[in-house]
Amino acid sequence: MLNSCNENKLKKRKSKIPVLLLAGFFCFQGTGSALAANNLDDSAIAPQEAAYGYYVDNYAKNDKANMTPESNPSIGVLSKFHDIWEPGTSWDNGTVLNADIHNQNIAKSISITENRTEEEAKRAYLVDRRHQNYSAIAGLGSHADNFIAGANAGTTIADEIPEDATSVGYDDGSNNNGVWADQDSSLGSMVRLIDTIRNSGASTSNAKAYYGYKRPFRWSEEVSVIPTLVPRIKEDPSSDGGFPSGHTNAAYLASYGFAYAVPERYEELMTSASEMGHSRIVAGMHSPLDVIGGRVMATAVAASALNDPANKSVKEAAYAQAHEVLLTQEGTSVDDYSDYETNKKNYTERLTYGFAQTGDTTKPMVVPKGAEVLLETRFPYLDDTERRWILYTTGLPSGYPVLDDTEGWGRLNLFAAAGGYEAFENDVTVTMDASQGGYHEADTWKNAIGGSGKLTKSGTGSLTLSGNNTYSGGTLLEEGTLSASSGTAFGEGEVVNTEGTLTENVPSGVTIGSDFTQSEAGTLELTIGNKEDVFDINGDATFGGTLKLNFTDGFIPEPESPIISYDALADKSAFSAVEITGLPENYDVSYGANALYVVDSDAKEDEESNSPAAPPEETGDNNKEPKDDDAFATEPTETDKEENPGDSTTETEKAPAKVEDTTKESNNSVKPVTSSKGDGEAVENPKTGDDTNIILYAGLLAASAIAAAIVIWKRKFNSR
Amino acid sequence: MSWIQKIVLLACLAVFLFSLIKLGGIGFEYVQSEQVMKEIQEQYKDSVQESNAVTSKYPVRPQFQSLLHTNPNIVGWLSIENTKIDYPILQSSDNSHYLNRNYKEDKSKSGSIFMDFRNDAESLDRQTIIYGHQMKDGSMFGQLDRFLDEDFFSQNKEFQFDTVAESYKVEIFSVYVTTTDFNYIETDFSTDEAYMDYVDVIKEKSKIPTDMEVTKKDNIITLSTCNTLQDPEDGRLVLHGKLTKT
Repeated sequence: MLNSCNENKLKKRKSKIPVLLLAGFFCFQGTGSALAANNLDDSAIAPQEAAYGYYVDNYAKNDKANMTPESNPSIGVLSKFHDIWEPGTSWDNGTVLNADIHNQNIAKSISITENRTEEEAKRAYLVDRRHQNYSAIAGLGSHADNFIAGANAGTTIADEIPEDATSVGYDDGSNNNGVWADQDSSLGSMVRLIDTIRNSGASTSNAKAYYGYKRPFRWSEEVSVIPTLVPRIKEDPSSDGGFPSGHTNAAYLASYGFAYAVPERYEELMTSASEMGHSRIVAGMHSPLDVIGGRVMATAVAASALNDPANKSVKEAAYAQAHEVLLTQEGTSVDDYSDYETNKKNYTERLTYGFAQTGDTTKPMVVPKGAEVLLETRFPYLDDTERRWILYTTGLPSGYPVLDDTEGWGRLNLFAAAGGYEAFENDVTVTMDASQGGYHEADTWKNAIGGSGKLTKSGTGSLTLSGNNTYSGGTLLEEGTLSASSGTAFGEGEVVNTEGTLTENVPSGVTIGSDFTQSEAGTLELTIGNKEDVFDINGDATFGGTLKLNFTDGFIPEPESPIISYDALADKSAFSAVEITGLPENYDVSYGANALYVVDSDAKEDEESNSPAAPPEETGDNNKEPKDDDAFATEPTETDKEENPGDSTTETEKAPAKVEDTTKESNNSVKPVTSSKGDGEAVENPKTGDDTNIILYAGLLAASAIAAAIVIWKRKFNSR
Repeated sequence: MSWIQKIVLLACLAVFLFSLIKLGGIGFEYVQSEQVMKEIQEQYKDSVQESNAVTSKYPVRPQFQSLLHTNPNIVGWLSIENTKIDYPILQSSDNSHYLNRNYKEDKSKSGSIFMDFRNDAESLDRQTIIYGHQMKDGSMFGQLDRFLDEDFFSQNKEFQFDTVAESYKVEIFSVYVTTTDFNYIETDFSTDEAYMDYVDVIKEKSKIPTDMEVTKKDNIITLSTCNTLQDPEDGRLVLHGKLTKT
């Protein structure tokens, strides 16, 4: 234990130091992810036409008659693969143009196959052998079994792999009607939507034939195909291309269909699709670039199918059926995708598989024509332009292999997009009509939102912001509910509440970056469970309307503990009505110069009759540290000690002397402050000395040697 | 030889052997710490080369991937030329855990170089604080006091600070000895003025004056270790530098 800076017990010298006077502290995100403060107009999200035209207009041209990037959109959307690979005239005579990326691609295949677990191998077998639509059902989580029952979905590939699978190639016989699920079942509309998307010029065979890029096990013997799939390896490699992965394409197509019908499972379905794609690499059947290609193509195909006016009734029926039949049943199956952070991590990694941005990294995001349909049911209260902005702000940066196609399909990140905007590039108005239910009634935007735009929330619905937001244009709440479930949910600008209910439920408090204004028709509702739970306004406060304070967890605030802090309070500004729950009846609010407190009104009256003291000084921070003023300095409290505490004895001895601790440098009129960790406790300056007693032991060594020498010398001397 | 002489001689021998064993133990510990540190230094060097200066949109840069497998509490890397400082930076939920644990979570007198628990390596506060022991063998922050020498300072004004998310050049603008009475371990400041006041104070305290400009938009890094020049118990050596993304 390092409990001393030095073993020498020298007399302590009190250093005279300058002291720092601060009004308080608040958490400041110095290097947030704020985007450039340039407002962009809608030209930023205008579609860009590729050589084959727009995918959504030409998706039906994916056939054998069109075998060029200019004529076949499924080949064209992947044409950035040309930077890495030049197709040859035969399956084995193409040319690697970018050896670095190609070698990485095969190396990643080797690494992933070498490190696969038994569980992964088993899953890879099942994904390979089962109808992909059937495998994609897992993304529905707890509703999966209900879907299987309602849609009569079936597979003949059992969960347990037969022992002879290493020599017998099993095929999926699907359900008793020979299909993965029935269109005439109680969930037949959902089945029809998936089938429709899967049959919309969705085959990868033309692209595979065009690119003629070998499967990874043909590039390197070190890529091992799982033994149970060896019987499935085609003997004729000339018709067995690897790029793009067909299974991955199918997995995403089915998952986009499910996500359209059940947008409540959007992120989970995307993760499930990415898991299926990943299993292709695990199986040894495909390389990461094959899988990436499969995803890109599927995204374009799914959007095309969903955009086609001919499919309008199909998709509407699927959405309605999902909500009227499937989601009304209680979910019973295990959800493999219940952890949002894990899903996000896995999905995000698989977008690029760790490839570096070796291309131009400065290209602005492009949003493909019609891609916004992929978010149609996820954000039903937004319009197409707004959905395109979400795709724009959540897109991947440019420069990754394969992903920089002209239209922008490769850079879409639908998992992130399902979490809402990542930036307000310009002012955003959200109107949510709660009477329409679903996401109209309540939604959560999970992403960290940057940008310079302003958020206006209107309509009766409830919007929750849960990201660590840095948008700087301010927040206007006109109607409905706007909730914070992160301390910086409302960004860095001012917050104005005219007729809505602004709520928070963040145990560490919420910070308002600038001024806060609430009109007569507005309600501010705070849930408070501890003393850090402060609504911290870093600007002027103008109060009006209703204040609801819900105290939870038995928390009773100290009189000097701010509930709302602010830099200044507008003249005569106060809430018209205050409703306090969770505290005894005699508690009431009290407005200080810099903070609002909740005080026991009986005790307050006593205090006021004794001494007309000024209201407690505000701290202006979210550390809730009592200000280091004279009153506190003369009667130091635990939280008040400026020390970097070592042991409590020294601490107590030193504390009273602090006030006199001034030096010539104190002309700066700064005083030392207690370092706080946000909950008012002093933070100790760690003792980083080396308490090894080298000098002591070296001294003892020398002393004992000398003493022995003296004894021996003396004996010799005496003996003479 | 009288029996008294014999006892004294025996006692001397005992003390001699005891001291020898203790010194050996200390030496062994120093060597062991150095070995353990070498392992991760090589691991880091290898992964830096492999990563080939890749820039990524994602928070964890490639060179930290393998380090994070070793210990997910690694948040960065600090290296200062012409000193022994070339170490991983760890962070826990308090400022004591890594005082006496190495990056393998084994007990170690040298502890680890660690970031103040209030700081966030992915989104730096105005002041990021890194602590380390002033080891007598010069390891950890044992050679930080070299910066008190004007010649050394003038020749080594910059060093590198890497977090899992970003790489920074650090330009040193202040170095001094003080005691814990001076609170230099605040991670954030309520206002720009408070921050600039603080920056002025720490610039003025520097033993070696510099004319580097630090503005309210700059973030700073503070290296802190024990030092006995002013106080054997609460003395500290503090070095402040300005961060620039590289």
